This record gives sequence, C-alpha cells and structure tokens, in this order.
Amino acid sequence: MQDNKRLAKLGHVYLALMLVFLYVPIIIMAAMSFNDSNLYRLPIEWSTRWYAALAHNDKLIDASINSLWVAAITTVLATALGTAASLAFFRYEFRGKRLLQLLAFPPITIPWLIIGTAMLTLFFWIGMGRGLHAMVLGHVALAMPYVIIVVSARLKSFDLALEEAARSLGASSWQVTMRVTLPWIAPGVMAAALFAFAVSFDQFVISYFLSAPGVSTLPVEIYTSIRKGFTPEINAISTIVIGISMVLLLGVSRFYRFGGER
Amino acid sequence: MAQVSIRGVSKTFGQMKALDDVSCEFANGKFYALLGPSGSGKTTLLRMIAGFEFADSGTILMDGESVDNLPVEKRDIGMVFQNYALFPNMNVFDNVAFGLSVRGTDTTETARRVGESLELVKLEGLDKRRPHQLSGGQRQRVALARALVTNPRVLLLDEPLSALDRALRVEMEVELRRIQRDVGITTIFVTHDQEEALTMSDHIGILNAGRMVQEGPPLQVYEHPNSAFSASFLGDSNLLHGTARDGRITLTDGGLIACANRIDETDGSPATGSIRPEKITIMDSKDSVADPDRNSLDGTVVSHIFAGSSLTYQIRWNDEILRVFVQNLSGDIFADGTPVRLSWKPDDTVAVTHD
Repeated sequence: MQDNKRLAKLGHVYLALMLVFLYVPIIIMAAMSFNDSNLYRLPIEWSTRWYAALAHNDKLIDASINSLWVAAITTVLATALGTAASLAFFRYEFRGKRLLQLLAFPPITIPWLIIGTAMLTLFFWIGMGRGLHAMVLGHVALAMPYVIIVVSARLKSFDLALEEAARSLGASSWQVTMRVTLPWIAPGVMAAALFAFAVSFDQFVISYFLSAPGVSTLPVEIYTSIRKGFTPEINAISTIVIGISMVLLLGVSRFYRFGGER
Repeated sequence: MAQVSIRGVSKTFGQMKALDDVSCEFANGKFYALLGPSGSGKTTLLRMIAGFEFADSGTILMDGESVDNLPVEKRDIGMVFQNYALFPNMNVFDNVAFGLSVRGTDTTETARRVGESLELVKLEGLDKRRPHQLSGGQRQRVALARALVTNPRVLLLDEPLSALDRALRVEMEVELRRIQRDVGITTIFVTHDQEEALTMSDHIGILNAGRMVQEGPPLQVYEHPNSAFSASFLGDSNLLHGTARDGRITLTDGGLIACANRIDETDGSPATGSIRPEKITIMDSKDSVADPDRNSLDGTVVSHIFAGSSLTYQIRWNDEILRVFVQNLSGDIFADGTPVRLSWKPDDTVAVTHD
C-alpha cells in the first residue's frame, strides 16, 4: 500500500515535470509578446506594441495568407484523396493491396529533409519549379498518410452490411458512399481534415525547399526573420499561431478520441 | 413478384466448393426455406440471387431472364440481413424511405408508401425513432418494411430471426408469414433452424456441403426423407443400419424391417431405414404386437425425459440408442432399465441413402 502511494506521488511529480517542460517555453513566449521591452526585461510591462507592429509587417502577413491558402487546398485534396484510398482499402481485396498500403506511409518515416530535396529535384526536372503549387503537392503527399490512418480507424467500426443493404435497396455506388458510408465516417473525416491542415500549416522543411524567392509561408518567413535578427514580433505571431493550433486541437478532440474508441 | 430459377450453379471459394451444380425453382409468391448447416452453401446461394456473389458456372433467372450481368442495385430485390443493417444515422422513416428516395420518388408518394409499409409491420407512430432506440423485434420489423417498400420482385431473408430471443422468434415467425401472405411476394428464407423451416415455408430445400440434398413441401420432406442427412437434419430420426434383402432391411441382430419404399439395392448391400421417434409405439416386452405386419424390436429403457405433456425415451437396442417420443396419455412411465418392445408401421420406415 505504502509503496503504491509513493509510486502514485512519483507519477504525479513526473506528470507535472512533463507539463512544465512542454508548456513553460510557450508560456514565456506568449508572456514576452506582451512585454514592452524587446530585451526580455522583467518585470513585464504590459504592451501590445508588437502586435501593432505585426499589422504593418507585410512580409509576415503575406506569408500567413500564403500558409492559410496552402493549408486549405492541401486539406481539401489530402482529405478527399486519403478518404477515397481508405474506402478502397476497406471495401476491396485486390492484388498488391498490402504493398500499396505500405507504400502510402513512407512520407511519415522518411526524413522531411530528404523528401524535400527529392521533390525539389523532381519538380525542377519536370520543369514545374518552386512555388506555392509545388508546396501544395508536397504537403498533400505528406498529409495523406495521416488522413488514411485516421479515416481507416473510423472505418473499422463500420458494418459493411450497411453498404450491402443500401445497394439491395437500389442505391448506386455514389449514393451508397454519400448517404450511408460518409455520414458514418464523417467524424473521422473531420478529424483527418484538421490533422491535414495542421500538418500543412506547421510544415517547415519541405516548404523551405519548395518556396520560390519572395513567396514563402509563415514558418519559412519566421525562420528567415530570426536569421536576420530576432524581434518580439515573432513572439506575437507565434502566440497567435499557438492560439489557432489550440482551437484546432480542441476541434480534433471533439471528433477523434485519442488512443481509444469513440 | 417473380419466379426465380437456379440452373446448375457452382461456386468455389479458394479450395472450398461452396456450391456444386445446384438447380432449383423458387415459385411465384411462395415462401421457400433454404435449410442447411453452416458451410452448406445456403447463404452463398442467397447472396448470389441478391447479386453480391457471382457464380463460376450456371445461371440465375428472374421471370425467365438471366440476371447474371445485373448488379445488386438493378435486380429489384428486398433483403433483410442477419443483424438488420439499419442505417444508424437515419430515423425509422428515413430508413424505410431509403429505397424510394434513391429512386427519386416524390415526397407525398414516399410518405404514403412508407406509411403503408410501417402499417403492414405494425410500427405506426415510431417513424421518428432512431434504430438504437428500438427493441430487437422492432428493428426486425423496420428492416422488413424497408425491404418491402419498393415492391421488389423477390424478398431475401438471411437468417433474420437468429438474433431474437425465443419468445420473440416465435412471434416473428407468425408475423413474417402473415406479411408474406398479405403481400404475396416470392420469399427465399435462409435458416439453419429446421423448426423455422417447417413452420414457415411452402417449400423446403435442404443443402449440405454445397449440394441440394432434397426439395419439397415441408410435410413431404419430413415424411419421406431421401437420405440419412435430410432425415436427421430436418426433424429427429432413428437410423437403423443393416443389409438389403428382398427389398427389406435385415438388421444386425437378424430382425427384418419392412419399408414404405422398396429398396432397389442388390441383396447384401448396406441399407439404412429412418424412423421418426414419434411414429414408434412403446409397450411392455411381455405384450405382443397385435398387428403382425408392424415392424418391431426389443430394447431396454436407458433414460427418459418427462416434459409434462410428452415423454422422450432413450432405448438401448444392440449397441445403438433409439429415441421414442410418446404423448403422456396414460400417466404411466416405463422406468429406466425396463425391457420394452417397440413397434411401428412399415409405412413409417423410410429407406434412405447413406452418405
């Protein structure tokens, strides 16, 4: 008994340390974004000047808009393609299915640096070059495996007899998918879409490789700015991004129960 | 309504022969039970009629026209699945209306026909409920209403009662039969439950290991099983083994058994007679059988099960155990260990092929 209690206490300490380790840097950054001093002087003097400065920083604003566009298009494409792939894997038995399932996942396991280089080489070779369109392609390839994982997990709880019932009642494949299958997996698809958005919006390495000069996304622009010299404006934009990410995360958890069945 | 014909259909899954040259007719407006143990091919045959599986060889006709190239959604069938397969995201009304809605039926017509269907299955007033708010029996009725609302050519039932408890099952047997008669739809019912097959159907087909063993009206198949398999699968049966002699069966202990049907086997070859437990009369071994034409043999009571209105005896005869089913007319019971004499009419002895 005594040992168990001691162990439980130890667990709590460990948990607290974990949370501190994860969130203290973020909290400090958020706090500093509201500090008038650009030299991290304490105590904090409340100010929103860095946010005001942000409003005039066209580069960061343009990069943010680019990021949102790329992420939005990536989300639509990756979710549609990934969901279609999940349905195919779920419904049909075909030659090479296992191989194909395996081939869908390397973007998760191969280092981004290598994927980025490979894509850059390919896009130049076929004459497409760099730019937001190249970035979208790269992000779709990266986000699709996540979509497949999340949607497939949801499909596991779907009863194929429902599709058979719908077909026996005269529904075409399209009607079956739209009216029976998709409504059931919709929470999974929503969660997958949010994942895809996050994967694209946060992506730095591949975006860095594929961005054309003068046209970049937010993470790339933040990196470039830091290299030129740090300003608390970065804290401000980062705080905004974290805020959006947290909202997204809440959205995901609404649809997708982590590590368990819904 | 339609007539469905199966012509020489075979199907192999990997190494397993699911159906082996099966032919049969499903008559217009009749209730047909496909009976067999699991793995007999009955579900495969049903799924082929639906269009979920396709035959390796042979053909399936509806009203004389081949449906071999018609996909499920074009076959105009109604099907009730084992676990009902109700759409969980739709309420009862939308579930039933699904078949009409995918056909583009207008709203007033849909409402009218869904109403009719729900009335037919006695579920009026539940149209706003979700499937998970219904009892097993109610789900069953929704599934049936959904399958019937489009006026399909044929109704396919895949063990629809197996998920229900006993009391509800008996109720649904009666209901299903009433609805089928009201609608007059050709119905094919897959089951492994011989009692369901007997009580509900106009026609029974017994399948075993991918082959159609026997077909016919319930009474005929019950009274005249053509094989040891159908004798013991449909109802209970005592099988007496011996050898053929002069169209009769000589038992291992030398007794002679006369049969309803003449045995065409040559003398000396193995022969089997099937006798239903309820056809046998049991008496004290000191009494003699009045009618000398009756078959008889002597045995010993091993055990008995008293069920109030009836009794089932287990009788040891040579090395075999025979079952005898008697109505409790006298209130007397032959105690275990009592020597008894069993007798029955030659007409109730059916020589069957042994497989």
